[in-house]
Amino acid sequence: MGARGWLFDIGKCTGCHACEVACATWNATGAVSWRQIVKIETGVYPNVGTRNLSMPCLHCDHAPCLQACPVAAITKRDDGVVLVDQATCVGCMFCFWACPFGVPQFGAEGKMSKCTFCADRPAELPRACEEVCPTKAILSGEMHELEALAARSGGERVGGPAGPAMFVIR
Amino acid sequence: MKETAGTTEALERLRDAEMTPGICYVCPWTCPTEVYTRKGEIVYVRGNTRASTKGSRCVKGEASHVLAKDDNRLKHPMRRVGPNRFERITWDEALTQIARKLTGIKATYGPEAVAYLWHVDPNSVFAQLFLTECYGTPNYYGHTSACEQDRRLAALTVLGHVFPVHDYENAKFIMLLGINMLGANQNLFESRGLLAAVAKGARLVVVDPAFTATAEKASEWIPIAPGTDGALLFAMAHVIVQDKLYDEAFCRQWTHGFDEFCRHVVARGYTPEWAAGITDVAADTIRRLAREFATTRPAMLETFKGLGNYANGLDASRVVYILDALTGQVDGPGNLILKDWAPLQPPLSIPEARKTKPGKPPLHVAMGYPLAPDLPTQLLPKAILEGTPYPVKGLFFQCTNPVMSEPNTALYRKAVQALELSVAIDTYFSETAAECEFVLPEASFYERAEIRQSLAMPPEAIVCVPALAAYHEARPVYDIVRGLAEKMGYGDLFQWNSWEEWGRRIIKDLPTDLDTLKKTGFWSGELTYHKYTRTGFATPTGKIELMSEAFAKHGYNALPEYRDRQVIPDEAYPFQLINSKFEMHCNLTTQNNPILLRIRGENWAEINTGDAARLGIRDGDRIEVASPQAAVTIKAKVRAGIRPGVICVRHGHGFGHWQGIAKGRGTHINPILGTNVNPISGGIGYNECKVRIRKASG
Amino acid sequence: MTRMAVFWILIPLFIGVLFIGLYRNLLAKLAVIFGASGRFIPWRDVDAAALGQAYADEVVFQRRIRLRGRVPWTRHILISWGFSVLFVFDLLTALLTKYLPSEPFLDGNVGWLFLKFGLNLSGMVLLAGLLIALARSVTTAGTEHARFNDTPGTAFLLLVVVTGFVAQGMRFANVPPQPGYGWALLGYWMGEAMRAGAPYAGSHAFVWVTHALLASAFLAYLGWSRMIHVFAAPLGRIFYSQTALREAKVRPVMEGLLKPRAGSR
Repeated sequence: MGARGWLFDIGKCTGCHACEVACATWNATGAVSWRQIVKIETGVYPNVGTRNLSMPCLHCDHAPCLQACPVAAITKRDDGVVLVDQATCVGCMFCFWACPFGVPQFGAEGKMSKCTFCADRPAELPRACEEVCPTKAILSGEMHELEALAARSGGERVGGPAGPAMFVIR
Repeated sequence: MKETAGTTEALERLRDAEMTPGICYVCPWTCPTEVYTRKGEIVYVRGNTRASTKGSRCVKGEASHVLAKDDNRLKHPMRRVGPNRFERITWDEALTQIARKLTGIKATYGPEAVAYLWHVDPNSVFAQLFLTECYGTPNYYGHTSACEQDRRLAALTVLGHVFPVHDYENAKFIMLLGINMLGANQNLFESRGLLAAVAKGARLVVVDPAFTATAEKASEWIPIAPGTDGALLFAMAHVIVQDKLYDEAFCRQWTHGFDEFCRHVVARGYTPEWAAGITDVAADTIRRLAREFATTRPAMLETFKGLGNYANGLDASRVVYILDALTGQVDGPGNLILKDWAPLQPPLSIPEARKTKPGKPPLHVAMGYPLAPDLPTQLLPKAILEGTPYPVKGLFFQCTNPVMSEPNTALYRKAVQALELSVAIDTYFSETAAECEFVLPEASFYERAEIRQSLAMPPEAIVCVPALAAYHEARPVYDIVRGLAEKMGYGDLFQWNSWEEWGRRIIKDLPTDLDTLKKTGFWSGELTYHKYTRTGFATPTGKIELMSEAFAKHGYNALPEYRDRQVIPDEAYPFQLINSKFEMHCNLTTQNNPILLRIRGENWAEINTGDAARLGIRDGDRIEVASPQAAVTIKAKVRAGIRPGVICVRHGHGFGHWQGIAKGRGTHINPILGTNVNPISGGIGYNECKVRIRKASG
Repeated sequence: MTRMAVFWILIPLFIGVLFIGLYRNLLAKLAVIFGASGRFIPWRDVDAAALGQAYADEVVFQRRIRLRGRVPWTRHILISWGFSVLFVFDLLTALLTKYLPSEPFLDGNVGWLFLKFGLNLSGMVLLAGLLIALARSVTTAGTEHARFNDTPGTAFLLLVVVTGFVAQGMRFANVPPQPGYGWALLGYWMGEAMRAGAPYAGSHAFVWVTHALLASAFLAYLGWSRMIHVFAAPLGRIFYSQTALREAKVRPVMEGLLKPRAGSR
């Protein structure tokens, strides 16, 4: 099974937070959010524009969080999914500093948790965020399939040495 | 998009849960849902994966499972014993006392003195059957005058259809005026369809003084002067008429008053130059948009609540539908869809012999609003306090909160207090409930059953199966009405051993059975286009009425006209206040939700960057917003995406008296709004408001 | 002679392993972070109040653990503060009594008693924490919670502490008690309890060397296990208190991702 990742259509995202809540419900994360929703408004009236981003964990090829963890609590599965072991994690927050996207989250108790790519769901099922999105801005799948889809819409892979497993369509 | 159908069993296994189909009632779009429960607890929710929602659920619905366990919900029937003091009573006591009062009111004033106001629950059809047919009052109403009264009347009189839905996905040109369908409440298949269309290269034009969530996705944002959309629309009509861009064959065959309308817009001089002066939209732009709309196929023009928030919104809304008709863009792919309804029957029927015929006309007719699609609620206090047009002594408020949501809240509070019988039926203790004599706890949509029409394009019936057992003593409306019927001698007509009994009656004409429906959650018929070729239009002439016979019959202007809005800002109050909504809040059920409050905890007033700089206001400052009526303090959001001279307030917040986490959050804007009622539709002009702004001290 | 040779080879070896571990598992990780985060914040931009608050919350009062429950919090406070204070007193004792001996710190004098008091009190606090931890490991064995226990680490450190107290007890048992010795608390009490088997000559040296080797081995273990959190967690969490630094890290990335395609709005 090839590496899996995301295709995110920035043009379709309305920044509504439905994905964030679905993730929190399916994964029972309590008050911690595994998706960061960012809305950026640019321009001067009347030439304004707004773009929205819903950022999960990008399950990078060379996950910096994994490299930065002093207690080896973070591992990468064969299918590319990056997971943190709650028992080993000591909540030192090094992974947050290593992650280019600030993905690691820390609940009140301090242990790191983050998007698991709905690791318990079989590969053919959509992820929780993906299925509830009202505009279907999120797609999960195998990277080579997503690459072809992204190319069709002028999308590109998110850059950086970490090798994030996400394509975006602007 | 990954296929979601067929994934239910997998999710059930993963969470050791059972899926029951449901219907979401946070907002009026009533999306079909899937509810996953394990040992009486909800572990996951999503949209129905086989129906039009395709698994989607908006943030409000997705967070709504909190309702099932919210300790602040109404648990027991209560009776008011003093200001802000309620005692718990039994259902039997409540129903007996309410029944006694209903009997008394009927004897003294007639059954017409009782009215029932409902929102977001079709099980109110049980109340309708009991009150209008057994008890004999014609006054069974919804909330539309506070919502989209003008649009509704326009659609009814022009197209003969109360609620067109939208085939955005296939449209190539979409122009939306005063409707924020991505940013407020969402008909989810429409949200998906709109973005799919835009991705395929459709042109989306959004006309709105604020840069809304829908405007974010638009090819073009027209920051029109508030309340002037009618001028823009008339000017577009003028262009289409002058340039002969209408679909003449369609108009001659399917519209009534085509020649009259064409002559009318020319005679009135509704030119783009004239409109430019009013709307602050360049004449060339208006011309270009009109031509683009008229020559792109398929195309769609639509509005919702924005236009009707002004006194001139009714006629402006009529022109929206007239323009769709002029270009023949009706009920085809990529158009407004005049949907067929599923053949559903009432849950029970009242024999003729047991019926009571009302002796007076319905309130809206007696008030002088024969065309109002719903009660002009702003005129209800007069009926209560002065007996005009006739006395109203008893009111039921089911999921409606007019003490909060109407302008002139002080008058409304006084009116409810003056009633001889006031009953609130709700899941939470609303401001209106606080003034009522009886407060009855309603079951949430996770604990009740219903079968109703959906708002998808084909004829479709959706089913809600109770996912959870009863929450304390809360009851679904059908059980509340049944209890009342039993106390008043109609119990034999409201008998069932299980909801499935009346459920089967409702679906008896559907080509499916209840057991199947209880698994799938919906039945869908075939979507057909251009149905009017078979049936015509449901108007007096059977055609699309560009010139309205219904208006003429009641002495109103048969052809729409342009009028300015009523409240124009001046030196003392230089800003126009417009109302808008958050996509994460609706009605009462979201205000106490910790998930939604973490995302958006309080409302704000949007103010243009330049205006804010002039007034020394920074983003996040508390500002005082004062109208001639009153003043409130609210958080400011400074942004470039709003027209200068306009303040946009996100409404529906400031529920002050709750015990729970909603208490003290946000600002209730209604006290500063004056009364403004459209004289034909009875719709409330929430944006007829001028204000001055200054930074709040302290 | 050979015994001491073993001692003087093993101790530096263990400490060496500790430093290699610190380098690999702490300094190299910090390098990854600073590589990723770009830069330090200049001292003048440091939010001192937030830093101080984080130090108090995380290091002194360990509030996050308190959220998990009273018992985990008590256990961790006892162990972490017990160990830290004990370590400091160990260093002080070695310096002041062995390498820089001076009057107050000679055997039986006030300074010496103060050091003994500190060593023993902190040691007793540490011992109490470790016993609670071990009890927890035993009672949760086989349950789902067992994976959150660190039984090997706990047992290891407990062995270090016990050998330390036994060595000290033997040392006290070897000499007649003097006034003031009571300030040595558990060390003195154990000495009294063990007086019957005195004198402990060879066995005292044996236990003492064992304690020293185990302590050094524990330090080596610290560099290569979850124990490294004693350095990593305070550092990382104090960085986290700097909101400006967090936002300066994340915001440009988000904005970069959201930049429109060339030519569009």
